[in-house]
Amino acid sequence: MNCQRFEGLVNDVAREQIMDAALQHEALSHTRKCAACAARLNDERALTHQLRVVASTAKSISASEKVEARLLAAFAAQSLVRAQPIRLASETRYWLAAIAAVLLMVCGLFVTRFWHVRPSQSARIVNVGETPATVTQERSEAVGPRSPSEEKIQNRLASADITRSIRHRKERELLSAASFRSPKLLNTEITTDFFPVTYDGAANLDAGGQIVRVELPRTTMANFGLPVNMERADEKIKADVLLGVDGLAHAIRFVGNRTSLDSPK
Amino acid sequence: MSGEYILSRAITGLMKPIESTDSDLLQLIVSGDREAFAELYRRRQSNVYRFALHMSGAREVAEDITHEVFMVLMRKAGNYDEQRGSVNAFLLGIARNHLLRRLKRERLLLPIDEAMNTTRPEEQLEELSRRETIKSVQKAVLSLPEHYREVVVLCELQEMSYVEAAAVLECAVGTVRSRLHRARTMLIQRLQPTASESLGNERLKSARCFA
Repeated sequence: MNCQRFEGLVNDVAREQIMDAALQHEALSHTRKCAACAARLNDERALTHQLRVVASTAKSISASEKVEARLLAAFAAQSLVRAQPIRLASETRYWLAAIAAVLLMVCGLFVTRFWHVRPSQSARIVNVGETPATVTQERSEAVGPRSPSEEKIQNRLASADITRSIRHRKERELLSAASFRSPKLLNTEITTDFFPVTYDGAANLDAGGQIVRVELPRTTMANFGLPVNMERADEKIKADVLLGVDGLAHAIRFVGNRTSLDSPK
Repeated sequence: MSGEYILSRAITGLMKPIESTDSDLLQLIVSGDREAFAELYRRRQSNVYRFALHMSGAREVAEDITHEVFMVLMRKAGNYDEQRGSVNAFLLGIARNHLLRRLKRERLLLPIDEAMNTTRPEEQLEELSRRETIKSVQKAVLSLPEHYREVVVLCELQEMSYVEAAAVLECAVGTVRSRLHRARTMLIQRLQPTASESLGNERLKSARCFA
Protein backbone atom coordinates (compact mmCIF):
# COMPACT_ATOMS: atom_id res chain seq x y z
CA MET A 1 0.00 0.00 0.00
CA ASN A 2 1.29 3.47 -0.84
CA CYS A 3 0.48 6.80 0.88
CA GLN A 4 -2.15 7.76 -1.72
CA ARG A 5 -4.06 4.55 -1.10
CA PHE A 6 -3.66 5.05 2.65
CA GLU A 7 -5.04 8.60 2.37
CA GLY A 8 -8.21 7.18 0.87
CA LEU A 9 -8.63 4.79 3.79
CA VAL A 10 -7.43 6.86 6.70
CA ASN A 11 -10.88 8.20 7.57
CA ASP A 12 -12.46 4.80 7.76
CA VAL A 13 -9.55 3.42 9.79
CA ALA A 14 -9.62 6.35 12.22
CA ARG A 15 -13.38 6.27 12.54
CA GLU A 16 -13.33 2.49 13.04
CA GLN A 17 -15.79 1.99 10.24
CA ILE A 18 -16.68 -1.50 9.14
CA MET A 19 -14.23 -2.41 6.42
CA ASP A 20 -12.39 -5.31 4.92
CA ALA A 21 -10.14 -6.74 7.65
CA ALA A 22 -7.30 -7.44 5.21
CA LEU A 23 -7.43 -3.86 3.94
CA GLN A 24 -7.40 -2.50 7.46
CA HIS A 25 -4.43 -4.66 8.34
CA GLU A 26 -2.61 -3.47 5.23
CA ALA A 27 -3.28 0.17 6.13
CA LEU A 28 -2.01 -0.28 9.68
CA SER A 29 1.07 -2.04 8.37
CA HIS A 30 1.76 0.95 6.15
CA THR A 31 1.72 3.30 9.15
CA ARG A 32 4.46 1.22 10.73
CA LYS A 33 6.65 1.86 7.70
CA CYS A 34 5.63 5.49 6.94
CA ALA A 35 5.98 8.07 9.72
CA ALA A 36 3.95 10.71 7.87
CA CYS A 37 1.00 8.37 7.44
CA ALA A 38 1.33 7.27 11.07
CA ALA A 39 1.13 10.92 12.17
CA ARG A 40 -1.80 11.44 9.84
CA LEU A 41 -3.60 8.49 11.37
CA ASN A 42 -2.90 9.86 14.85
CA ASP A 43 -4.34 13.24 13.91
CA GLU A 44 -7.39 11.58 12.47
CA ARG A 45 -7.87 9.46 15.56
CA ALA A 46 -7.53 12.48 17.80
CA LEU A 47 -10.11 14.31 15.76
CA THR A 48 -12.45 11.34 15.91
CA HIS A 49 -12.08 11.28 19.66
CA GLN A 50 -12.77 15.00 19.97
CA LEU A 51 -15.81 14.80 17.73
CA ARG A 52 -17.17 11.88 19.73
CA VAL A 53 -16.77 13.84 22.92
CA VAL A 54 -18.79 16.66 21.40
CA ALA A 55 -21.37 14.20 20.09
CA SER A 56 -21.75 12.48 23.45
CA THR A 57 -22.09 15.83 25.24
CA ALA A 58 -24.75 16.95 22.80
CA LYS A 59 -26.67 13.68 22.96
CA SER A 60 -28.72 14.73 25.95
CA ILE A 61 -29.76 18.11 24.66
CA SER A 62 -33.11 18.69 23.07
CA ALA A 63 -35.52 21.46 22.25
CA SER A 64 -37.30 23.15 25.12
CA GLU A 65 -40.77 22.10 26.17
CA LYS A 66 -42.14 25.39 24.90
CA VAL A 67 -41.54 24.21 21.35
CA GLU A 68 -43.53 21.04 21.96
CA ALA A 69 -46.37 22.98 23.55
CA ARG A 70 -46.49 25.42 20.65
CA LEU A 71 -46.46 22.61 18.12
CA LEU A 72 -49.20 20.66 19.81
CA ALA A 73 -51.33 23.78 20.00
CA ALA A 74 -50.70 24.40 16.32
CA PHE A 75 -51.63 20.81 15.54
CA ALA A 76 -54.92 21.16 17.41
CA ALA A 77 -55.65 24.44 15.62
CA GLN A 78 -54.85 22.87 12.27
CA SER A 79 -57.20 19.99 12.97
CA LEU A 80 -59.95 22.53 13.64
CA VAL A 81 -59.17 24.40 10.45
CA ARG A 82 -59.17 21.09 8.57
CA ALA A 83 -62.63 20.34 9.89
CA GLN A 84 -64.05 23.81 9.20
CA PRO A 85 -63.73 24.00 5.41
CA ILE A 86 -66.36 21.26 4.96
CA ARG A 87 -68.89 23.34 6.88
CA LEU A 88 -67.86 26.51 5.10
CA ALA A 89 -68.12 24.79 1.76
CA SER A 90 -71.65 23.61 2.47
CA GLU A 91 -72.64 27.10 3.67
CA THR A 92 -71.13 28.71 0.61
CA ARG A 93 -72.94 26.23 -1.62
CA TYR A 94 -76.23 27.06 0.14
CA TRP A 95 -75.80 30.81 -0.35
CA LEU A 96 -74.75 30.39 -3.96
CA ALA A 97 -77.86 28.32 -4.61
CA ALA A 98 -80.03 30.99 -2.96
CA ILE A 99 -78.46 33.78 -5.02
CA ALA A 100 -78.85 31.74 -8.20
CA ALA A 101 -82.53 31.15 -7.39
CA VAL A 102 -83.16 34.86 -6.83
CA LEU A 103 -81.40 35.75 -10.07
CA LEU A 104 -83.46 33.20 -11.98
CA MET A 105 -86.67 34.64 -10.54
CA VAL A 106 -85.68 38.18 -11.50
CA CYS A 107 -84.74 37.08 -15.02
CA GLY A 108 -88.02 35.18 -15.33
CA LEU A 109 -90.03 38.24 -14.32
CA PHE A 110 -88.11 40.41 -16.75
CA VAL A 111 -88.72 38.05 -19.67
CA THR A 112 -92.40 37.64 -18.83
CA ARG A 113 -92.90 41.38 -18.64
CA PHE A 114 -91.03 41.93 -21.88
CA TRP A 115 -93.28 39.46 -23.76
CA HIS A 116 -96.40 41.03 -22.31
CA VAL A 117 -95.43 44.49 -23.48
CA ARG A 118 -94.42 43.61 -27.04
CA PRO A 119 -97.81 42.64 -28.62
CA SER A 120 -99.58 45.89 -27.64
CA GLN A 121 -96.67 47.86 -29.00
CA SER A 122 -96.83 46.10 -32.38
CA ALA A 123 -100.59 46.59 -32.47
CA ARG A 124 -100.13 50.30 -32.02
CA ILE A 125 -97.68 50.63 -34.85
CA VAL A 126 -100.48 49.73 -37.31
CA ASN A 127 -102.01 53.14 -36.66
CA VAL A 128 -100.12 55.44 -38.95
CA GLY A 129 -98.97 58.66 -37.45
CA GLU A 130 -99.74 57.77 -33.86
CA THR A 131 -96.69 58.79 -31.96
CA PRO A 132 -94.90 56.08 -30.02
CA ALA A 133 -94.65 58.54 -27.21
CA THR A 134 -98.38 58.22 -26.64
CA VAL A 135 -98.06 54.48 -26.70
CA THR A 136 -95.32 54.71 -24.13
CA GLN A 137 -97.40 57.11 -22.12
CA GLU A 138 -100.36 54.76 -22.14
CA ARG A 139 -98.09 51.90 -21.19
CA SER A 140 -96.66 53.87 -18.33
CA GLU A 141 -100.16 54.78 -17.17
CA ALA A 142 -101.16 51.14 -17.18
CA VAL A 143 -98.21 50.18 -15.03
CA GLY A 144 -98.80 52.90 -12.46
CA PRO A 145 -96.49 55.22 -10.55
CA ARG A 146 -92.78 54.56 -11.00
CA SER A 147 -89.56 55.33 -9.27
CA PRO A 148 -87.10 57.78 -10.93
CA SER A 149 -84.86 54.95 -12.03
CA GLU A 150 -87.80 53.16 -13.66
CA GLU A 151 -88.79 56.39 -15.39
CA LYS A 152 -85.31 56.69 -16.79
CA ILE A 153 -85.57 53.18 -18.17
CA GLN A 154 -89.01 53.95 -19.61
CA ASN A 155 -87.74 57.15 -21.26
CA ARG A 156 -84.95 55.18 -22.82
CA LEU A 157 -87.47 52.59 -24.05
CA ALA A 158 -89.71 55.35 -25.41
CA SER A 159 -86.88 56.92 -27.37
CA ALA A 160 -86.06 53.45 -28.72
CA ASP A 161 -89.74 53.06 -29.74
CA ILE A 162 -89.70 56.41 -31.54
CA THR A 163 -86.57 55.47 -33.42
CA ARG A 164 -88.11 52.13 -34.35
CA SER A 165 -91.36 53.81 -35.51
CA ILE A 166 -89.53 56.33 -37.70
CA ARG A 167 -87.46 53.55 -39.17
CA HIS A 168 -90.60 51.53 -39.97
CA ARG A 169 -92.27 54.54 -41.60
CA LYS A 170 -89.23 55.24 -43.74
CA GLU A 171 -89.17 51.62 -44.76
CA ARG A 172 -92.81 51.79 -45.74
CA GLU A 173 -92.29 54.94 -47.77
CA LEU A 174 -89.32 53.45 -49.52
CA LEU A 175 -91.37 50.36 -50.21
CA SER A 176 -94.17 52.37 -51.76
CA ALA A 177 -91.69 54.36 -53.82
CA ALA A 178 -90.00 51.22 -54.92
CA SER A 179 -93.31 49.68 -55.84
CA PHE A 180 -93.25 51.74 -59.06
CA ARG A 181 -89.85 50.36 -60.00
CA SER A 182 -89.74 46.86 -58.67
CA PRO A 183 -90.53 44.34 -61.43
CA LYS A 184 -92.11 42.10 -58.84
CA LEU A 185 -94.44 44.79 -57.68
CA LEU A 186 -95.25 45.88 -61.22
CA ASN A 187 -97.24 42.71 -61.55
CA THR A 188 -99.38 43.64 -58.59
CA GLU A 189 -100.43 47.23 -57.88
CA ILE A 190 -99.60 50.75 -58.92
CA THR A 191 -100.96 53.88 -57.32
CA THR A 192 -101.42 57.52 -58.19
CA ASP A 193 -100.34 60.31 -55.91
CA PHE A 194 -102.66 61.34 -53.14
CA PHE A 195 -105.29 63.89 -54.27
CA PRO A 196 -106.64 66.14 -51.57
CA VAL A 197 -110.40 65.87 -51.13
CA THR A 198 -110.77 68.90 -48.85
CA TYR A 199 -109.53 72.45 -49.10
CA ASP A 200 -107.35 72.05 -46.04
CA GLY A 201 -104.31 71.45 -48.17
CA ALA A 202 -102.25 68.47 -49.09
CA ALA A 203 -102.66 65.34 -47.11
CA ASN A 204 -99.89 64.68 -44.65
CA LEU A 205 -99.29 61.25 -43.25
CA ASP A 206 -97.20 62.66 -40.48
CA ALA A 207 -100.25 64.45 -39.11
CA GLY A 208 -101.67 61.04 -38.27
CA GLY A 209 -104.65 59.07 -39.52
CA GLN A 210 -105.37 55.83 -41.29
CA ILE A 211 -105.42 54.59 -44.84
CA VAL A 212 -108.55 52.70 -45.79
CA ARG A 213 -108.81 50.66 -48.97
CA VAL A 214 -112.16 51.21 -50.77
CA GLU A 215 -113.68 50.47 -54.18
CA LEU A 216 -115.23 53.30 -56.19
CA PRO A 217 -116.86 53.67 -59.59
CA ARG A 218 -114.20 54.28 -62.22
CA THR A 219 -115.91 57.53 -63.15
CA THR A 220 -114.82 59.01 -59.81
CA MET A 221 -111.37 59.38 -61.35
CA ALA A 222 -112.76 62.07 -63.62
CA ASN A 223 -113.55 64.23 -60.58
CA PHE A 224 -109.79 64.43 -59.91
CA GLY A 225 -108.94 65.25 -63.51
CA LEU A 226 -107.81 61.78 -64.45
CA PRO A 227 -108.70 60.28 -67.80
CA VAL A 228 -111.33 57.53 -67.76
CA ASN A 229 -111.57 54.65 -70.22
CA MET A 230 -115.21 54.78 -71.10
CA GLU A 231 -115.25 51.15 -72.21
CA ARG A 232 -114.62 50.18 -68.62
CA ALA A 233 -116.61 52.97 -67.01
CA ASP A 234 -118.98 50.57 -65.32
CA GLU A 235 -116.14 48.76 -63.61
CA LYS A 236 -114.93 49.50 -60.09
CA ILE A 237 -111.49 50.80 -59.18
CA LYS A 238 -109.61 50.43 -55.92
CA ALA A 239 -108.63 53.52 -54.00
CA ASP A 240 -106.87 54.32 -50.76
CA VAL A 241 -108.62 56.95 -48.68
CA LEU A 242 -106.55 58.78 -46.12
CA LEU A 243 -108.69 59.38 -43.04
CA GLY A 244 -107.47 62.03 -40.70
CA VAL A 245 -107.46 61.89 -36.92
CA ASP A 246 -110.77 63.77 -37.08
CA GLY A 247 -112.28 60.82 -38.95
CA LEU A 248 -112.73 62.77 -42.21
CA ALA A 249 -111.32 61.79 -45.59
CA HIS A 250 -108.42 64.06 -46.41
CA ALA A 251 -106.96 62.53 -49.52
CA ILE A 252 -107.43 59.77 -52.01
CA ARG A 253 -105.27 57.81 -54.40
CA PHE A 254 -106.27 55.31 -57.03
CA VAL A 255 -104.84 51.83 -57.18
CA GLY A 256 -104.61 49.91 -60.40
CA ASN A 257 -103.33 46.56 -61.49
CA ARG A 258 -100.13 46.73 -63.50
CA THR A 259 -100.83 43.55 -65.39
CA SER A 260 -104.09 44.85 -66.71
CA LEU A 261 -103.33 48.52 -66.88
CA ASP A 262 -100.45 50.74 -67.62
CA SER A 263 -102.07 53.34 -65.49
CA PRO A 264 -104.93 53.20 -63.05
CA LYS A 265 -107.53 54.16 -65.51
CA MET B 1 -37.66 -26.24 28.97
CA SER B 2 -41.27 -27.23 29.32
CA GLY B 3 -43.81 -26.63 26.57
CA GLU B 4 -46.00 -24.57 28.92
CA TYR B 5 -43.14 -22.19 29.68
CA ILE B 6 -42.41 -21.68 26.02
CA LEU B 7 -46.11 -21.01 25.38
CA SER B 8 -46.37 -18.52 28.23
CA ARG B 9 -43.27 -16.70 26.96
CA ALA B 10 -44.73 -16.54 23.50
CA ILE B 11 -48.02 -15.13 24.82
CA THR B 12 -46.17 -12.57 26.93
CA GLY B 13 -44.20 -11.59 23.85
CA LEU B 14 -47.40 -11.18 21.86
CA MET B 15 -49.00 -9.09 24.58
CA LYS B 16 -46.17 -6.59 24.61
CA PRO B 17 -47.25 -3.35 22.99
CA ILE B 18 -45.74 -3.16 19.54
CA GLU B 19 -43.99 0.16 19.02
CA SER B 20 -45.23 1.98 15.97
CA THR B 21 -42.65 2.78 13.33
CA ASP B 22 -42.05 6.34 12.22
CA SER B 23 -43.89 5.61 8.97
CA ASP B 24 -46.94 4.36 10.88
CA LEU B 25 -46.93 7.49 12.97
CA LEU B 26 -46.74 9.61 9.85
CA GLN B 27 -49.79 7.86 8.43
CA LEU B 28 -51.65 8.62 11.64
CA ILE B 29 -50.52 12.24 11.53
CA VAL B 30 -51.96 12.58 8.04
CA SER B 31 -55.31 11.43 9.40
CA GLY B 32 -55.05 14.05 12.18
CA ASP B 33 -53.90 11.93 15.13
CA ARG B 34 -52.52 14.32 17.74
CA GLU B 35 -50.96 11.57 19.85
CA ALA B 36 -49.05 10.22 16.89
CA PHE B 37 -47.68 13.68 16.23
CA ALA B 38 -46.61 14.08 19.84
CA GLU B 39 -44.98 10.65 19.79
CA LEU B 40 -43.02 11.33 16.62
CA TYR B 41 -41.99 14.71 17.93
CA ARG B 42 -40.63 13.23 21.15
CA ARG B 43 -38.84 10.55 19.22
CA ARG B 44 -37.18 12.78 16.61
CA GLN B 45 -37.01 16.32 17.91
CA SER B 46 -33.59 15.99 19.55
CA ASN B 47 -32.00 14.87 16.26
CA VAL B 48 -33.44 17.86 14.46
CA TYR B 49 -32.58 20.21 17.28
CA ARG B 50 -28.99 19.02 17.59
CA PHE B 51 -28.45 19.19 13.86
CA ALA B 52 -29.74 22.77 13.79
CA LEU B 53 -27.69 23.68 16.85
CA HIS B 54 -24.44 22.27 15.46
CA MET B 55 -25.05 23.91 12.12
CA SER B 56 -26.05 27.34 13.44
CA GLY B 57 -24.35 27.47 16.82
CA ALA B 58 -27.36 29.25 18.32
CA ARG B 59 -30.02 27.77 20.54
CA GLU B 60 -32.73 30.17 19.38
CA VAL B 61 -32.13 29.29 15.77
CA ALA B 62 -32.15 25.60 16.62
CA GLU B 63 -35.50 25.94 18.38
CA ASP B 64 -36.96 27.93 15.53
CA ILE B 65 -35.79 25.37 13.00
CA THR B 66 -37.18 22.50 15.09
CA HIS B 67 -40.50 24.29 15.27
CA GLU B 68 -40.52 24.95 11.54
CA VAL B 69 -39.62 21.37 10.67
CA PHE B 70 -42.49 19.92 12.64
CA MET B 71 -44.86 22.57 11.31
CA VAL B 72 -43.92 21.44 7.81
CA LEU B 73 -44.43 17.84 8.89
CA MET B 74 -47.88 18.75 10.16
CA ARG B 75 -48.90 20.16 6.79
CA LYS B 76 -46.98 17.88 4.44
CA ALA B 77 -46.70 14.55 6.21
CA GLY B 78 -48.26 13.01 3.11
CA ASN B 79 -45.23 14.05 1.05
CA TYR B 80 -42.99 11.52 2.76
CA ASP B 81 -41.77 8.79 0.43
CA GLU B 82 -40.44 5.71 2.16
CA GLN B 83 -38.40 4.79 -0.91
CA ARG B 84 -36.27 7.91 -0.59
CA GLY B 85 -35.10 7.39 2.99
CA SER B 86 -36.05 7.16 6.64
CA VAL B 87 -38.37 9.58 8.42
CA ASN B 88 -35.33 10.85 10.31
CA ALA B 89 -33.62 11.65 7.01
CA PHE B 90 -36.83 13.28 5.79
CA LEU B 91 -36.98 15.53 8.85
CA LEU B 92 -33.29 16.39 8.72
CA GLY B 93 -33.67 17.20 5.03
CA ILE B 94 -36.41 19.69 5.84
CA ALA B 95 -34.28 21.09 8.67
CA ARG B 96 -31.32 21.47 6.35
CA ASN B 97 -33.34 23.36 3.75
CA HIS B 98 -34.75 25.74 6.32
CA LEU B 99 -31.40 26.18 7.98
CA LEU B 100 -29.47 26.92 4.80
CA ARG B 101 -32.11 29.44 3.79
CA ARG B 102 -31.86 31.10 7.17
CA LEU B 103 -28.07 31.05 7.26
CA LYS B 104 -27.99 32.61 3.83
CA ARG B 105 -30.43 35.28 4.94
CA GLU B 106 -28.86 36.11 8.25
CA ARG B 107 -25.28 34.99 7.68
CA LEU B 108 -25.38 33.30 11.05
CA LEU B 109 -22.10 32.08 12.35
CA LEU B 110 -22.50 32.74 16.00
CA PRO B 111 -20.32 31.06 18.58
CA ILE B 112 -22.13 28.17 20.11
CA ASP B 113 -23.91 29.21 23.28
CA GLU B 114 -24.10 27.48 26.59
CA ALA B 115 -26.70 25.05 25.35
CA MET B 116 -24.35 22.10 25.71
CA ASN B 117 -23.16 23.01 29.16
CA THR B 118 -24.97 20.38 31.15
CA THR B 119 -22.44 20.11 33.98
CA ARG B 120 -22.99 21.55 37.42
CA PRO B 121 -20.69 24.41 38.66
CA GLU B 122 -18.76 22.16 41.05
CA GLU B 123 -17.88 19.84 38.21
CA GLN B 124 -16.73 22.63 35.97
CA LEU B 125 -13.12 22.62 37.15
CA GLU B 126 -12.71 18.94 36.35
CA GLU B 127 -14.40 19.41 33.06
CA LEU B 128 -12.43 22.50 32.13
CA SER B 129 -10.06 20.81 29.74
CA ARG B 130 -12.86 18.74 28.25
CA ARG B 131 -15.01 21.79 27.78
CA GLU B 132 -12.14 23.66 26.18
CA THR B 133 -11.77 20.82 23.73
CA ILE B 134 -15.50 20.80 23.04
CA LYS B 135 -15.54 24.55 22.51
CA SER B 136 -12.64 24.49 20.13
CA VAL B 137 -14.14 21.63 18.15
CA GLN B 138 -17.51 23.37 17.97
CA LYS B 139 -15.79 26.54 16.84
CA ALA B 140 -13.83 24.67 14.22
CA VAL B 141 -16.98 22.93 12.95
CA LEU B 142 -18.83 26.23 12.75
CA SER B 143 -15.99 27.74 10.77
CA LEU B 144 -16.32 25.15 8.01
CA PRO B 145 -18.16 25.99 4.81
CA GLU B 146 -21.79 24.84 4.96
CA HIS B 147 -21.46 21.84 2.66
CA TYR B 148 -18.53 20.50 4.69
CA ARG B 149 -20.11 21.41 8.00
CA GLU B 150 -23.27 19.47 7.30
CA VAL B 151 -21.43 16.21 6.56
CA VAL B 152 -19.41 16.56 9.74
CA VAL B 153 -22.54 17.23 11.76
CA LEU B 154 -24.44 14.34 10.23
CA CYS B 155 -21.70 11.72 10.08
CA GLU B 156 -19.68 12.63 13.15
CA LEU B 157 -21.92 14.47 15.58
CA GLN B 158 -25.19 12.76 14.66
CA GLU B 159 -23.40 9.47 14.01
CA MET B 160 -25.27 8.74 10.82
CA SER B 161 -24.04 6.38 8.16
CA TYR B 162 -22.85 7.64 4.79
CA VAL B 163 -26.03 6.28 3.19
CA GLU B 164 -28.32 8.09 5.65
CA ALA B 165 -26.34 11.31 5.29
CA ALA B 166 -26.57 11.00 1.51
CA ALA B 167 -30.36 10.67 1.83
CA VAL B 168 -30.53 13.84 3.93
CA LEU B 169 -28.23 15.80 1.66
CA GLU B 170 -29.78 14.34 -1.49
CA CYS B 171 -26.43 13.50 -2.99
CA ALA B 172 -24.34 10.42 -3.78
CA VAL B 173 -22.65 8.41 -1.05
CA GLY B 174 -19.31 9.06 -2.73
CA THR B 175 -19.91 12.79 -2.42
CA VAL B 176 -20.53 12.39 1.31
CA ARG B 177 -17.31 10.42 1.68
CA SER B 178 -15.17 12.89 -0.21
CA ARG B 179 -16.71 15.90 1.55
CA LEU B 180 -16.17 14.28 4.93
CA HIS B 181 -12.58 13.51 4.08
CA ARG B 182 -11.96 17.10 3.07
CA ALA B 183 -13.85 18.46 6.07
CA ARG B 184 -11.86 16.34 8.50
CA THR B 185 -8.60 17.49 6.97
CA MET B 186 -9.74 21.09 7.39
CA LEU B 187 -10.75 20.42 10.98
CA ILE B 188 -7.38 18.89 11.81
CA GLN B 189 -5.68 21.96 10.36
CA ARG B 190 -7.88 24.32 12.36
CA LEU B 191 -7.54 22.38 15.59
CA GLN B 192 -3.76 22.18 15.42
CA PRO B 193 -2.05 24.37 18.05
CA THR B 194 -0.59 27.47 16.41
CA ALA B 195 2.96 26.46 17.27
CA SER B 196 2.71 23.11 15.59
CA GLU B 197 0.58 24.35 12.73
CA SER B 198 3.44 24.35 10.29
CA LEU B 199 4.37 20.85 11.36
CA GLY B 200 0.81 19.70 10.78
CA ASN B 201 0.82 21.22 7.34
CA GLU B 202 4.09 19.49 6.60
CA ARG B 203 2.52 16.21 7.64
CA LEU B 204 -0.46 16.75 5.35
CA LYS B 205 1.80 17.72 2.50
CA SER B 206 3.91 14.64 2.97
CA ALA B 207 0.80 12.53 3.05
CA ARG B 208 0.00 13.78 -0.41
CA CYS B 209 3.45 13.07 -1.81
CA PHE B 210 2.72 9.42 -2.42
CA ALA B 211 5.75 8.31 -0.43
